[in-house]
Amino acid sequence: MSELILTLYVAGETPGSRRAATNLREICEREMPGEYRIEVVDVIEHPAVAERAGILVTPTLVRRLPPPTRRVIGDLSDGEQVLRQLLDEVEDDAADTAAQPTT
Amino acid sequence: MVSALDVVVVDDDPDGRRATLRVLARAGLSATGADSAETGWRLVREYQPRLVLLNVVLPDHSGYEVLRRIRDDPALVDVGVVMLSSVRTPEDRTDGLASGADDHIERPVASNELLARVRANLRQTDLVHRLRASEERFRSLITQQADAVLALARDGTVRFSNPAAEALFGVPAGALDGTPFGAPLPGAGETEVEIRRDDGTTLHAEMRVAESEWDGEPAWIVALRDVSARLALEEQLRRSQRLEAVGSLTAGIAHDFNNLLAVILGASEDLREFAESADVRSLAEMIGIAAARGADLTQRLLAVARRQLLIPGPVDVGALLADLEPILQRTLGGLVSVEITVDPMPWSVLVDRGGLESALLNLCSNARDAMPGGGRIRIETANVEYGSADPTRPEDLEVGPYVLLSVSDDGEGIPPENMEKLYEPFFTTKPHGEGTGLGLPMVFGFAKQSGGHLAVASEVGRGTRVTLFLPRAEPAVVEVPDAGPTVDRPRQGDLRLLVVDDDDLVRRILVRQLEHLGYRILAVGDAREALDALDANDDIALLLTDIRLGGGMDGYGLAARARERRPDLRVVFMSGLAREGLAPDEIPDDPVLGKPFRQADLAAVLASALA
Repeated sequence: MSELILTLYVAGETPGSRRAATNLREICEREMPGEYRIEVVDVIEHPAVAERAGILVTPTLVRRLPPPTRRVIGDLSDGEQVLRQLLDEVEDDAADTAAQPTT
Repeated sequence: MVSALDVVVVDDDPDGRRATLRVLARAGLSATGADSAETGWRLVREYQPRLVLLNVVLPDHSGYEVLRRIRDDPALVDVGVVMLSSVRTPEDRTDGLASGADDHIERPVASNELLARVRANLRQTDLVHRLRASEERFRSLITQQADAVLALARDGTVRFSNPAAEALFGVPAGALDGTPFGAPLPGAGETEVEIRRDDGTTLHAEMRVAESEWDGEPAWIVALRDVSARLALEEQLRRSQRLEAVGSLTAGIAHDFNNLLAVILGASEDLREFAESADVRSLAEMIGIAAARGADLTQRLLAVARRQLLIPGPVDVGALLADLEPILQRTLGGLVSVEITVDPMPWSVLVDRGGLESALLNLCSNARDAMPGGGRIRIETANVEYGSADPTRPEDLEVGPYVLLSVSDDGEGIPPENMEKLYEPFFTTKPHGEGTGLGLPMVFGFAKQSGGHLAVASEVGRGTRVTLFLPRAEPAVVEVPDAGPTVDRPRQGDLRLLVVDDDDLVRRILVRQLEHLGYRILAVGDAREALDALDANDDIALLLTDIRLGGGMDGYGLAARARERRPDLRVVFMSGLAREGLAPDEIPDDPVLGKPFRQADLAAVLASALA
C-alpha cells in the first residue's frame, strides 16, 4: 500500500479538535504503523492555508495522497468508518477534484 | 394548481376536432379547440389546461413548435402533451416523445381508445403535479428550517444548502453548492464542530447527520445548529460558579482571620498603652499597623467575595465627589488631573458610603496606573431609568432607576484577550508585587452586592472607561450623617455589659478593652450561657455578641430570645464577615461592628448604643 499523507485541520485547542487528533493517531498507529504521515494545521493560526484548502468546518481530515483527495468531518470517533474512507472502501469512488491541494 | 380546463385540442381539421371535443364532453371533461398552432398556443398559455392534444401538422407552424414552447415555459411545467398524427414513418411516433411529449396517438383512432388514452394521460399528469407539489413542500420545509441544512453527495460535495446554512457560513446564496465539504461520518447523536465563516470568525455548531437520498442519489443530510451563544452562557455560568466557590472559601478564611486580627490589634493597643519603654511602644505600634493591613486585606477579599459588611444608605453622589476631589488630587500625584462632571439633577444612590468611596479610589488609581506619563481622569455621573425592553440595560441588571458613575482615562487601554479576565480575582497585569489582582474584582463585588453592575469599555491606545451602575435611592429619604458621636473613654461604672463570643482569645481581649473603657463585664462563650446570665443578673444594659456562635444558636437568635425577657435591652453585634447569610432587608437595626475593630471604634459604637 502506498503511503498515506493526511492533513488534519483544527481550530485551536477545542475538545473536539483534541479528540480528532487522538482518534486519528490511534487509528493510523493500529492499522498502518509507519505507513502514514499526519500534518495538523490550526486554521486560526493559519487562516490563509485553510482558505486555500477550502476548509468549511473543523475538525476536517484531508487525505492528500494517494489521490483522489478525500475529506472527513468530525471528531473521527468511529474508527471503522474513518478507515473505510481513508482506504477507499467506499461505494462512491468519485474524486473530490475541487479540493486538490494547492499548497 | 389544478387547472379549470381539462383539455385543449389543437387540430386544423374541423370535423376531426369537433368529433374529439364531443367524445371528451360526453365523458364529462371540459375541453376547447383551436384550429392553428398560434391559437392553440394562446389558449394553452391562457388556461394552462391539464392536457393538450396536439396535431403534428398544422397550417401555420408544426405541432412540435408548440410543444417546444410549452416545454420551455416554466409556468406550463404541469401541462401534459399528447401528439396526434397519421404515422408514415417510425420517426413520426418517436420524434414527439423525444421532444418532450408525454404520449403519441396514431390516427385514425377509435373514440373509446382516444378517451382511454386521454384519461391515462390525465392521471399521469396529475400524479406528476402532486409529486412536484409534495417536493415543493418538502423543499420549502428545509428552506425555512432554522437549522442550517446541507445535502451532501457521497463524495462530500454540497448538493444543496438552505438559507440558514448560507447565513451560518456567511456566504451569498448558492455559494456553497458544489464545494467540497467532506464526509460527515454519521455517528450516534451529535458532533461538535467549528464553522469557519467567510469573514474569518469562528462559530461553534452541533452537527447531526442522517443518511438519505438527494435527487435520487445516496446522500448525507447534515443539520448544523449554532450553539456559540449557549456555550458562552455556559462559560459565564462556570465563571460565576467559580467566583461563588472562591467567595465561600474566602469568606470562611476571612472570618477566622478577622478573629485573629481582632486579638492582635486589641493586644497591640493594650501593649502600646502600658508599655514602659519607647522600644516596646514602637514594637507594639508595628504590630498594630501590620494587623490593620491584614484587616484591610481581608476586607478586600470579602469585597471580592461579595460578603463584606455593607450598610446601604442614601448617598448624594455629587456631594461625595466634591468631598473626594481634593483627596483624589493629592493621592493620585501631580501628573494626573481629575475632572468631575455631575449630572445637573443628580439622584442619590442607595449604597454603602465607605464602599463607594473605596471603589472610586480604586478605579482612579487603576486609571492613573494606566497613564504612566500622566493624563486626565474624567469622572462623570448620569441618571438612567432602565425599562424591560431597553437594549442598553446590562443583562443581569434589574429594571429600574440607576445612577451611572464612570471613571475614564486616556491611557494604554486593555487588550481584548485580557477583557474577560478582568473580574477574576488575583488576575493582574502589574509587575509582581505591585498589584494584588483584587482591585477591579473588589469594585465589581461591591457593585453586585449593592444591587448594581459594573461595565468596562476599552480600546488599546485610546483609554478605558469603567462604569458603575448604582441603584437610585428613594427620593423621600433624607441622608443621615454617617459619622457617629466620638466618645473617648466614657466612665460607665454603673452599667453592665454581657459579652458573648465563642472564641476564647477574642473574648479575653474584648474583656480587657471593655474594662479599659470603664464597663463592668460578664463574658460567656455561647447563647445558652448568655441567656442564663441574663436571667441571673438584672443590671445588664447591653448585649455585645458575635453573630456566628457555636452551640446551635447564633447571635440573631440570642438577641431575639434576650429581648423576649428584656425588651429594653440594647444590642450590638460583632462580625468577622457581616452579612452571615442574611438578605440586605434582614440586616438588623442594631449596630454591627466589623472585626477587627480598634478600641476607639468599639467605644464609639457602645456609647451611641447606650445613649
